[in-house]
Amino acid sequence: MIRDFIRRRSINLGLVMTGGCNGCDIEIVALLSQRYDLEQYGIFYHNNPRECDALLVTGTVAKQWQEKLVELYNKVPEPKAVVAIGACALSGGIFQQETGKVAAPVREIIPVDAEVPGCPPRPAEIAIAVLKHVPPALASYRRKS
Amino acid sequence: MSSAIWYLYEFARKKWLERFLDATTDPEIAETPSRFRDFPEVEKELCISCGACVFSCPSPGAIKLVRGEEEDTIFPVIDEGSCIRCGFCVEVCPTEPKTLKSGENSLIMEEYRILPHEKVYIADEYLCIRCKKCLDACKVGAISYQDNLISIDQSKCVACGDCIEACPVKGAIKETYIINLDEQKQITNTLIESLENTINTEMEKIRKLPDFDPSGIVKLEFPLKEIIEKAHEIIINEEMILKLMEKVTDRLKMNVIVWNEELCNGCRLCVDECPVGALSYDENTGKVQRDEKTCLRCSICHQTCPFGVPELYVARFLLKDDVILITLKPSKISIRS
Repeated sequence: MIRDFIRRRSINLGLVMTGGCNGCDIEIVALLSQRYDLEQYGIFYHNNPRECDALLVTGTVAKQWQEKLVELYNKVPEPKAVVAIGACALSGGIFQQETGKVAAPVREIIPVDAEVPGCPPRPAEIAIAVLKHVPPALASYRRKS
Repeated sequence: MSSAIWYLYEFARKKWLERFLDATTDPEIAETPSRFRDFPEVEKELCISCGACVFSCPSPGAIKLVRGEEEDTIFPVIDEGSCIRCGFCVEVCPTEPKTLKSGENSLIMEEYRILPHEKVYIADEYLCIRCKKCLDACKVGAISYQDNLISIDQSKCVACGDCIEACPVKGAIKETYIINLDEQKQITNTLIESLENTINTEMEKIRKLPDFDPSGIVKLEFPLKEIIEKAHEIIINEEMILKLMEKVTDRLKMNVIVWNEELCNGCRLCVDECPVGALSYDENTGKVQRDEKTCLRCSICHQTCPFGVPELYVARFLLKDDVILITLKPSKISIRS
């Protein structure tokens, strides 16, 4: 219980960009900036997946990323959560064309706890999704048997 | 020293301390502004199922037309996972008020809408009886009545086809596919060729017609199944093939020339008259020969010949269920004496 209480106040995020137009990543940068200021909610950003609790996945998951995304997900220490951000991560978006080489959606590659639609979603929408869905997902995470 | 005291005083101010302890973002910043273009909202009752929103959508699979539980209700459904909130569907929606609403885009009522249609509708001023039923049937106000003429505004038309259903005259509003023109040409050519072949195989039956008997007509039937299979190899759209065949058979009028060589006396009047040189005099037999491939079926030889060697028949066609009915009649063009 204490652990969950602490986790609710300190979420460590990692950002994975798997191909796409980079718009969602720019919105996440806006979240980190002074205007939205993610750290006031106790959310911290890390570059190293081994330091993260939750992964933010953006982009269409290009074919080259498919295996690497699973590898990266496995490196995140348990308990872990994944938030898929943007139309690309949810369905492939405008890149899901007949000739496209796209492995989206993300939910078919790694387990996803929360999805944020939009192209790109507003920074506030991303922050709300992270605060609302990541702590319960971490609390209910079960170690793979 | 004085500045240090001023800083101490500044830090100790209550307001500053409060702000320091409660450092949060202004709620106004996180709020969505009213001008923000969110996912479109759908009002099912207003939809006329024209499909303009689906055509305009740049994201595959973001918007779909779905059949409702009640009969004849079709409305768009938006998949938020693929929607990119561009608002194109809202801009092109032609209903008033709009079926789709999102942000300020729902206020845009474009004067000229360019929609990627497959079909074009044109009113025929000769066949039109000016009943004005199409004016009521058109849901986007593309049809106008002016100077005793019905005209369809192509920039407003959404190609729903309601005007054709309302029109009591067949052919007064013409529906034309403007895609795959080369394939349409191919289908038309194969259809006409195979119709001509059927007539040629029945030539003996036509010869037996009593001369200049006005009631003497030959009726033939042409099964549609084979030609449709052939057309499917060229194009897949079945509705398009059927509409094209109907249009061809409605308009087609074919001249058939039956050459009775045994009546020829070798006068060679026709040879000079023929505009393409399809007729040639054969000195061995003393008779005129006709080359079927270059012949235009213009009927000039029929009008010239004093012995009735070239007989002219007119073939007309009707598409009924799964056969094309062919009717052959002797032509009534007078023979020059």
